[in-house]
Amino acid sequence: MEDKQIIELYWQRSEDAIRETDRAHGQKLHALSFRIVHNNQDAEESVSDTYMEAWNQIPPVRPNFLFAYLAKICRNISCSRLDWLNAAKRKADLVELTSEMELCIPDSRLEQRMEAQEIGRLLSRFLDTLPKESRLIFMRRYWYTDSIREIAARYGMGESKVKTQLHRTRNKLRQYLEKEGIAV
Amino acid sequence: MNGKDLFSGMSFVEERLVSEAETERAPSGRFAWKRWTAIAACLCLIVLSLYTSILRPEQEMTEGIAGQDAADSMPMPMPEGGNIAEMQQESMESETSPDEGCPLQEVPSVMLLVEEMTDTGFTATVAGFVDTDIFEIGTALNVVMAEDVRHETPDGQFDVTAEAGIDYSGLCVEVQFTEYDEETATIVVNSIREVTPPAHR
Repeated sequence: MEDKQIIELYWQRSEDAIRETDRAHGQKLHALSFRIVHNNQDAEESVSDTYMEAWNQIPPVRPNFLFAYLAKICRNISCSRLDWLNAAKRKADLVELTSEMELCIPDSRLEQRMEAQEIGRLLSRFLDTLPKESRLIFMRRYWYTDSIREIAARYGMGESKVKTQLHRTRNKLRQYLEKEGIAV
Repeated sequence: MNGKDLFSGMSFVEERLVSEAETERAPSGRFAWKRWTAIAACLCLIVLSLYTSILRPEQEMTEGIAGQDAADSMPMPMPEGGNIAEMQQESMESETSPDEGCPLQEVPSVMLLVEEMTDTGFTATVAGFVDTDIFEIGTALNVVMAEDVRHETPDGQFDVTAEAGIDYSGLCVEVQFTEYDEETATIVVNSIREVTPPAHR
């Protein structure tokens, strides 16, 4: 079933909406959540909560990109569910990702709290300044949490090239955050 | 704000960006185009090499025998020593670097000024860029040579394995590297091209 038809089921308040959503996107949502929470039960619960959230929001929301809409909710729920204290023990790749992102934050003695939504808007503006190739690689790495090898295979390039691209993009993000006055 | 905040904040980037990253497989098919162009270029080079090394000498031999009498009556021009040196210099400057020709997989290259040799390679500082600018000029690097590093001399000769005893100290080299560890400032090289010739072998 097409995404537009699935969205129509939500608008009609049909119980088939969740079933069709799960059929179309459940596997990818589960994989996305599992990469973050590294636990099957937590991932399943995150996906279930995602469907609940989507049911509550649609209508009046009518997403343009259904998977992206669901994936955003799922990722956010998974990050909230994540126990960062235990992350270091079991989720070495997630710790690696957050360490890489830490490099993007300019040095400063000032502390500044930002809402997650504000960070998201800032990152969206930054990503729009990037060439498409750099943007895709950055998103696959830090949004979808793909490994370097997976990104290289996806786009038909060497792993060294992926690492180089990410390094340059992180430097650009650092400069962008500095210019925007963001500090750690 | 810290790395975790940034990572969590990524959840709130715009949906069109999330969708783009999910649906795009290869950016504009650019890499497929590059790969096939590189393969075509390699095939042309192979055909040209075969022609010049096998087919053309046979032809020249045949023509040489036929024109021997005519050639005997003409004096052979002897180039001066300086002209030969200029030709050699031009040849060295125009030769393709190791990373051109058949780039089926792009590998970054960087120019290094070698400081001293170590057990696994050498220490060096970045002297210039070739096709990557992830380092700054003057950055200190530890260079580890891969098991089968390709070594190219200034006159274009290749060795499959690094020849034992080559001292790169004080030389400027162009290296291709396959790995880069930012934490230890270490690169693993699989190809070294001497830009300046060694003093001793």
